[in-house]
Amino acid sequence: MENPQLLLSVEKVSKKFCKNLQWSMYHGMMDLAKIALALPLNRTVLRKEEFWALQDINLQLNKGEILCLLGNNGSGKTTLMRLISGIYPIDKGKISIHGTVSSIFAIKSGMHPHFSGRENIFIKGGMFGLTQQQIEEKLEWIIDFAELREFIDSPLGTYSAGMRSRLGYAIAVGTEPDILIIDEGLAVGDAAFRLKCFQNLKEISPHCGIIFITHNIKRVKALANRIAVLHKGKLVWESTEVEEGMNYYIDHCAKLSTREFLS
Amino acid sequence: MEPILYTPEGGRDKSLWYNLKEIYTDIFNFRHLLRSMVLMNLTQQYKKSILGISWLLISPLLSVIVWVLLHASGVFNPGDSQVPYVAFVLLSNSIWVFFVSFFKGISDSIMGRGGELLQNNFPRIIIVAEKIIVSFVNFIIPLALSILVLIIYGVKFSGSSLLFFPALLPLVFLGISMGLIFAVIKVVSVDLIVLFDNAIEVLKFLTPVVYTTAIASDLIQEIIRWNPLTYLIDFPRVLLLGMPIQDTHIFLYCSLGSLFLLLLSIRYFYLALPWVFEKITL
Repeated sequence: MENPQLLLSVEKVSKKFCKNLQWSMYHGMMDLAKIALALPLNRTVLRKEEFWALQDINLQLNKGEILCLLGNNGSGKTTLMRLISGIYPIDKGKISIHGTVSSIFAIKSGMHPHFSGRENIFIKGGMFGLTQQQIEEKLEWIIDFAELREFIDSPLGTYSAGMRSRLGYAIAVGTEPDILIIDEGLAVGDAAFRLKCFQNLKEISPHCGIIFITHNIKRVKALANRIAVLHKGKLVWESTEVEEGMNYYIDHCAKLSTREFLS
Repeated sequence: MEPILYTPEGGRDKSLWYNLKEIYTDIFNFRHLLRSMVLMNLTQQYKKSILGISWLLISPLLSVIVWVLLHASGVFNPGDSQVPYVAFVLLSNSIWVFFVSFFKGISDSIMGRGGELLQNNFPRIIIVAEKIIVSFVNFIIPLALSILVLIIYGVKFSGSSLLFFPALLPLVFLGISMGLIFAVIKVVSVDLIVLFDNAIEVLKFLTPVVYTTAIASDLIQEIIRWNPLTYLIDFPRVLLLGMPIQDTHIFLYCSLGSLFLLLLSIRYFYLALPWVFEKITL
């Protein structure tokens, strides 16, 4: 077997947040003053009301992998994805990314209700870093995949939630990123479209790496070839044994007493 | 392809020169997004209107008509000034609004678009560039109308009038600098921002915007004399109207100062922005 191509490496990454809003603002002002005076920020120490939202995370993603990230609410999944997407700065450790990243966090964000589906493809595609020409090349595929040909020139505000999420998904996948991050992005689409997305993810996965965040364990089983479990800011499980990872999550993190929904 | 690295250094190991190159490459690579955002910003509020984007012309036209009508009714009587007062006020007002639009537009940009920025990772400088371009568009239209009114009122323009545009740049730099610094501060300090927004209103009266220095009191005159905005606004205005030029050296000092502040604020924006980003709450 040839060597897997490394797309993402997260090394000993930690991130802290502040529990209290006013203290958070106070610390923020102190940081701004320190930056102005060129003083060190000391990000490795916890200040009043701060806690580690993520601690010593190590994670790698190779080409061809669909990594499912499981975790309870507040376990740090979205935070980790925002660190990887370069939205939040990291406090400790290092992240290196080989290629482009497209993330779907809130599928509707960055889209504007007064503008048509077509106009929104250009806006959102631009946010993913595509040029006008690249978007034009992908435009027909996006419209077809989102199944919106008839309404593509209607304002987005008139779309149903499912139509919007179809469009959002199609644009993100249409950017052909090296790393695709999907954070609960498909929760809104109907069953038929979800199935279409899963098939699509399987199709594109040999050419890229996918990180998929979900609470829905059924989807993990159908999709993942690698699994990671986050619990209270720590990575407690990471392997290619999807079934075992799911069991670990169910027994130790979710603490579910019944497994009947797995069937 | 070079890997992208994220470390806790957060750009501290980079230089101002690196940031300037970054601005250039980001704007070049995301020029398409920038164009879409500018168009969106300009057309968004008129999307539902029947007259559409022509409102960009109609609204300043209406304000010109109001000013002219007020003038005709004799509301203004500021005494001697070489330029018809109404034209002078129109022009000065649009310069002031132009300056404030940079400060307000840029300083609001990060908080105003917080949700979008937290969900999409595109260079933040694109939003700043968008605000700058929109400010220019929103300035040029009323300015053209003001110049039209000036011509109707009999003001003659000379070759030096063309120098008005480059002479306006230091004011633009100052507006952008303040905008960049306060865009960052605004995320963490509501208190400071409320104070500063009010201070900007007061500042208008401590700058000879709608009156000439001849009609102000002694105290205000003294403040005006020390206020750099006085020179940054007056010099280009005098150039445009072909009035006698004075205090050229002070204008040059103020211009150098605002250029220096611009570079400083760009560096600060790049260093500080990542660390306040996590404070944006949705």
